[in-house]
Amino acid sequence: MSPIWKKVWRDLANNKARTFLVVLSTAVGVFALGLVFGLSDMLRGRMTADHQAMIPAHITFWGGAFNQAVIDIVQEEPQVGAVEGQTQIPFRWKLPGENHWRNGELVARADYARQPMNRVDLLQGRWPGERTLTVERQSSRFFGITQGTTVLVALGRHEEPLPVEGIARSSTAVPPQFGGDATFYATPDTVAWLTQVRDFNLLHIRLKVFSEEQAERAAQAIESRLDRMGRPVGGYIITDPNVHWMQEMVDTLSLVLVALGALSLALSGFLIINTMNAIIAQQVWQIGVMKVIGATFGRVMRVYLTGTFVYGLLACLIAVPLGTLGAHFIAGWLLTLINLDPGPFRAVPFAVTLQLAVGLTVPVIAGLIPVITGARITPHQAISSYGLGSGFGQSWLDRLVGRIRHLPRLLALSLRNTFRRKGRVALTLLALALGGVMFITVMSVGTSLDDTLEGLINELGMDIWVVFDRPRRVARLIEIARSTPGVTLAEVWGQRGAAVALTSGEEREIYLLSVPPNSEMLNPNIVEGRRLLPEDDRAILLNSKVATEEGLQVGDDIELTIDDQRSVWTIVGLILSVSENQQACYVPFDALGRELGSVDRGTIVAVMIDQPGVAREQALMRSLRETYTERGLKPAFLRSVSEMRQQNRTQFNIITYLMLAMAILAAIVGGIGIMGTMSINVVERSREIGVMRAVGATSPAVVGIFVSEGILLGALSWIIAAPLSYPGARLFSDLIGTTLLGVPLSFSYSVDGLVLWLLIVAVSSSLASLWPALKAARISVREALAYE
Amino acid sequence: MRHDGNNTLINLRDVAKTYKTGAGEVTVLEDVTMSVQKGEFVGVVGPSGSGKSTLLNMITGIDRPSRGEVLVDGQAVHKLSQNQLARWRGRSVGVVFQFFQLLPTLTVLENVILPMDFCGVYGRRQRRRRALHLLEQVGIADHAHKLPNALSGGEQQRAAIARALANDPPLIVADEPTGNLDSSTAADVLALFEELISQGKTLLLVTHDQSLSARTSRVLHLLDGQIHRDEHRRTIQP
Repeated sequence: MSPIWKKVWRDLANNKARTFLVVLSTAVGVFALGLVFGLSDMLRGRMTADHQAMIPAHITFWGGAFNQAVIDIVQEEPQVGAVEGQTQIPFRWKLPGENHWRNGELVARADYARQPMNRVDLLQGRWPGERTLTVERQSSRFFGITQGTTVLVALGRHEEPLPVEGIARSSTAVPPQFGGDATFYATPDTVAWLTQVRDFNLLHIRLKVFSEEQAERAAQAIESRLDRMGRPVGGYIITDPNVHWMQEMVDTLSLVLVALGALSLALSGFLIINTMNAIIAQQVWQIGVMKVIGATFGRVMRVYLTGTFVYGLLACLIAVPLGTLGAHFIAGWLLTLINLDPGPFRAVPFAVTLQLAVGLTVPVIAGLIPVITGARITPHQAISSYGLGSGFGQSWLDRLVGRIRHLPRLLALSLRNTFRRKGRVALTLLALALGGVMFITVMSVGTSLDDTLEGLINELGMDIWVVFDRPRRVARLIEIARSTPGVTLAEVWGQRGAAVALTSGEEREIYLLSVPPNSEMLNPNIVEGRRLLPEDDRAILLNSKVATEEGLQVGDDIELTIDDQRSVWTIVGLILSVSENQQACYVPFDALGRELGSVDRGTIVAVMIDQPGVAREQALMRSLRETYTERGLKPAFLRSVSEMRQQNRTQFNIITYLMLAMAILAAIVGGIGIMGTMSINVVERSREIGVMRAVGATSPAVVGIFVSEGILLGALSWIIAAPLSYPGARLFSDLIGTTLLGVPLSFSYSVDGLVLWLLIVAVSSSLASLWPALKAARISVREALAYE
Repeated sequence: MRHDGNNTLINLRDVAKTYKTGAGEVTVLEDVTMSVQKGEFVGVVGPSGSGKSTLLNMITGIDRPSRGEVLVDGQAVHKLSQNQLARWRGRSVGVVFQFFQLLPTLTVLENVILPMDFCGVYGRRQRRRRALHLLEQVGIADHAHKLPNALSGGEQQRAAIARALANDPPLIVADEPTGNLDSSTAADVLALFEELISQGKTLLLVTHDQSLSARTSRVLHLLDGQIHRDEHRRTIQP
């Protein structure tokens, strides 16, 4: 090998700390890219594949009674490919020996062996048989229900022990790990035995050809037909067969990751530029000598750019496998969480190619300007740059800094030293400030998300819901509730599915919750308009997601179809709500009662209790069930609202955790930036350190100078980051909210994040400059003043 | 290398050099006109700041004159671009520095091969052999595979001389080559230089060392950027 290439390799090998810094700086950005694109591809790929393999129903009718005759008739519709009836009902269950009941979902279908759609896969044991159950896999894991376990089931009048004979996997069941209830499968006979109801309550339909418009037309046609048959439905849902139910969350996740991955890469770039500048600065005299003995500009360029290429290669060797592994493990965790199989380990070709392309070119590009500047240097400039160097005093900034008086001399030295290498300081500050903006932005988005969720989940101010299968008289429901010890307040609400007529002629499903005037238990998150007032008649608080997507505003009149009756309602406010799959809207209790022909009757009793807490809630739920049942009003089910709040919150935890991880990444990159700059400063000023020691500077004094410079850099970066972080955080928060919830989050700037970043930057800049400072203190006068 | 037929290797005409500093313009060389014949051993002496090193830098192309002409072996050095200068210098001038300036991550042998790689005067297969031969000539062949920091100052300077000879240039220029050496080692280096003269090389030497300048065949005395005295000696004193 030619000596010049040996020089390239040995320069890298002999300066391990510096090589490590450049490689690490590059690897961070390349790793982030691999993680982002690998994860996104794996999630999307598995979710789409699984969703399609599941053969999802295109239309699902709910809130009706469907028997075989209905199924046969609907099958005759020309657009219909397949029809299947299914029962899905809430029930209570517990394991033997347990005290408190849990909520669960019981699903029944006619033929598990031949599933035309919404496929569930049997993993272990058997499908449910006569008075036996099969449990969903995630429920099995979460609650420790194994094949052979006997589960106590409470449904209708029955409390029965039923053995679990198998474990199945469904990709549509919301896992308990994600806030869902436990899911069990049974036969229709078992459900009929428990509830005396034979008809299915869901009708799944798969069309021959799917498009949104065709599905909408088919759904309306079928709904009309069912009406004419005397089989009205509560409503219907149309499902895009290509879009998994988690797609939106994953898209938001990808957005967050891509943005933060790009920022990490930018940070890497700045760090590399800084380090390459310093490397070239250190090698200036060698460049001069090479030019004296015959090296041309082009030759010098090739030597140093080859060095930068090798940095990139080393970074890729670390970052590509780590990025692939990271993407695989995180994808695996997420996919398992939503009950999908991660599949075998695989690298994503696009992600790997991108990582290699970026990893090999970014250091070269980042190093281009420093290398060109260095290669252009004339031998004379190179050779005459020996000595302690000047570099301070000429510019306006130097003069400004120089005018700061009455500082302790060593601190003044630190202050002026900081501004000697203005380009390097600027880049370091830029990298650190960017890291700070990233950190504070992420913390603010986390706070905003928390606040928004808090507001969302506190929308429902009651502690317990008691739900009946048909409307009951308000006075009776309240009187019974209040007679139950521990109940402090009770209100009766109503509920019904409805459809909004759109200007396009189509309809969109929404879910109406009717509340009494001056309800003390409804705390809607009103983003526009006003609350419901006692004097309101046909007024509606519309879900902001529906409003945004359909171009509806406060003040608009909309036509609602409720139980086949059309009526016009006025939008008085828009609310941010995640309830009922972001379809929940609120209307006055009496107005809905009149539409349904059941004035002064409701199906929900909202109850507040004397003491918060899971145990008290469970006790009150038992009491309420018993009391209502004794009085002849057996509830369909009861629900603890604190459980519902927890479920809602859990769904968003993924985003929060991921953003926290990126915040930590920002802090680490910031630390690397300072360490790099300070190390380079020490190396460059070796002779200066020797002179200081020759004229009496002690080791603590030398250490103090460099640590002060590091802290000063950190503090300056914080001063720059602080004002920039507000607009950055606002922008990102709006973006996340709009993508995730359809509206911007209720923004909350994280002052904690601002203060925490100051602490982080102060501590990390002290620590990051300590090691180079200690190295500086160890340099002897003789070593420092000898030429290389 | 161009041969113009006569015996003059270096020709400077009205060469001046002015620098801009924070304190204003400083004239380091003023109207210098001189020539050096092939095979001469020239010492350049003078007090600090007299322009000795600047004069050498003009001749080697390391620096450019503010005005005037610099002709080395017929080549108008002051007109060459930086790349042209680098190529020309690699083949035509061997430079020896006071502080050796060996590349620290290359072995002594590799340092000597490096100029040959840059200039391509010798074929690939010849370079290593030639480098070893040059190291033998300067008496440090045993240290060929060591890094510079493993050698003494004198040994490093010998290595630097071997590197200066790598492409067999007609002109060797040395700026304070013994400034960093003890007297005994300095004497060895001087002996090497005399050997080079006897091989037909032309040598220009900046030095404070009187014993060194006494061994040259001609001494240029510089003062305040001008040639104050040009002293020719017929013989080289032992």
